[in-house]
Amino acid sequence: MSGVQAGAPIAAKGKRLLNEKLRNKYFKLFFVNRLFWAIMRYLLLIGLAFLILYPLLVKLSNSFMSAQDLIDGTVRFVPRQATWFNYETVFKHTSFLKSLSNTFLISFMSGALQMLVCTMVGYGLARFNFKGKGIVFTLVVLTILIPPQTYMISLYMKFSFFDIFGLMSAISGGSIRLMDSMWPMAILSIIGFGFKNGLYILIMRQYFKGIPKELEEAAYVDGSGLFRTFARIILPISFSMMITIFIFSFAWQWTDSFYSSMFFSQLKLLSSSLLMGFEGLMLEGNTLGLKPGQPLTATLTNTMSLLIITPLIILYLFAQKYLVEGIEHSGIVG
Amino acid sequence: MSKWSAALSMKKRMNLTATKKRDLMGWIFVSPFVLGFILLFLGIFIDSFRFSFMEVNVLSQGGYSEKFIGMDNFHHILRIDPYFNRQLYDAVQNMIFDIPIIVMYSLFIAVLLNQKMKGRAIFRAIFFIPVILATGIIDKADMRNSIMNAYQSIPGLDTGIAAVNESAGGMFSNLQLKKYMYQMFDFSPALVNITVGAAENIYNVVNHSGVQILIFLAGLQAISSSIYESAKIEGCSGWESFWKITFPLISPLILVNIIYSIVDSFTGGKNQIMDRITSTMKLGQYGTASAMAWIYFLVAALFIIVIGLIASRFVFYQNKE
Repeated sequence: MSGVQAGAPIAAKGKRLLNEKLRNKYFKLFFVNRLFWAIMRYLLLIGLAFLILYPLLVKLSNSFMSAQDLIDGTVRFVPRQATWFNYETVFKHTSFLKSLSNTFLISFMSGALQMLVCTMVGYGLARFNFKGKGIVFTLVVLTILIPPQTYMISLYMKFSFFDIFGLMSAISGGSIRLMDSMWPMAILSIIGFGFKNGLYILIMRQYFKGIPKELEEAAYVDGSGLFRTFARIILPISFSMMITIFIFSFAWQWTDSFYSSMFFSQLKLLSSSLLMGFEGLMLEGNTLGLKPGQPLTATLTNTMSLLIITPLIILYLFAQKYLVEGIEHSGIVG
Repeated sequence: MSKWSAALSMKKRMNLTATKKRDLMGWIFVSPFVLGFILLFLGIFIDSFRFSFMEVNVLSQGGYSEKFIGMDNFHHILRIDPYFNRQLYDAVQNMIFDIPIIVMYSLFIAVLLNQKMKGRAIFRAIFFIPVILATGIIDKADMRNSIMNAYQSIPGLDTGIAAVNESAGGMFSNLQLKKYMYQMFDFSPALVNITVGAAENIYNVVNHSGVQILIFLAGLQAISSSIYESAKIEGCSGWESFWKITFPLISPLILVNIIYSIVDSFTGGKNQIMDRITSTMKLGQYGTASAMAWIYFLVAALFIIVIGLIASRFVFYQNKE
């Protein structure tokens, strides 16, 4: 009897000790586990990031090399005579700032228009049950499938001799030539036929289908109209997806060579001057122009492509801040 | 009693018409696309379809002449042309191998990039770079340089430019790696081929999944963190909450990414068939090119329909229709 009574606190104490030990061990395991996963994650991400970055890093280091360094076989990665020469040449000979502003205007316009239009169409396809919805959706998927190269010539003709059902020629007597203006891109964006717009519509449709309907229905019950609901509730909810689409269309318009060479042959754009290259460029003190394939020619092209990529990356660094839970701010919880 | 039920039925009917009315408003939302399709693209598609049954000759003074030749274009491509079938088969095979890997990889990376950690913005930006490169303009510029290099064999190219070419083509020099593995480990050739193929593929997969990662990343934002919190309180492990919460809720976008990956692998710049179609078009053989495009288009559409139907059975939408 007394032995048991005396033994009880000891047993309890032992149990507590054991508990503490276990907890310590468990916590240690927990932390080791977390540390292990964190390290694994960083290793994986850094490794993959290296795969992506390696070509760009080589270009970056090359872009600071002088002409001698490029030919010198002993110089690798770290330039011996670092120079701004390549950047200066690119800036001077491509009227870089002019084409930068042109490209920015066109990309921003088509990005914004395509973002709005594709969100609208995607919403229409996701939330309304009108007759013929199936057909419209099929057409959207078809337009993703058909690459623009296959109807390039017809498209060119359409915009060279622009006319809507003969209306234009009836009014002004003759079709209008829309090339080398913003109009072809604006029209294509407004009707949702820009570069990969079918994809954006599909993304938005799927995205809206995955979002609960309750918020909109509450708005309707409260007497909010269709377009008011769209502007006040749908757009804020889908902000992160819309930003993503804007980034897509901005970046792809920025680096696009297909539509640019077709519509804007006279306009200075970044992509067209990159593709023109630096062959035949006369540098100061040289009697011959740059030959194609020369290290210096290639390096100038690479420097230019770095200069084209950089603004996009900066844009994305800003935009990715908005890739946060959109739905959380809108008030649906759970 | 009857008054009540009449009022009720009346109310019901009015409700019905109200939702129907709202559904009709859907046309307003999709009208830009539909209008554009009718005004601009219907004609183009019909033209292309007509051309595939015709022999089209571009006249030197401008314009073109067309002659109806029935199925001859198709017959020529499928039966006489020695390459087309082979290339089509290769394109389909590549697609079937690549797509599961690309979709799984991009979902995995998107989930990783969605977690809170130091340097997340930087990592996100790095994984965004393949999106920029997807239009292929940088590739084009690179490619022309490397072709010129090979063509002119200018000395001194083993400095930076060779490294650029090497890295543009793939991280690993394929042949060197193979030779190394044969000599060092005495592997069987089949094993070496598989290993080297996988290593080559990593580079491809990483550079072809930028778009998919971005789509997933945006989709993950729509999943409220409170769901995860409550699951955690209930004792759900990370693995379980991925499969029970993240996976079903992201599944609509998995379907998008599957479709996009199919289209990308079919119409991407590295695809031989697309090259052939555009080069045939540049030669002025619009009839043949249109027929090729239509065959190709039908095959791609068939795959999208089949895979889409299979995948859409597993897609979970929060709204039941």
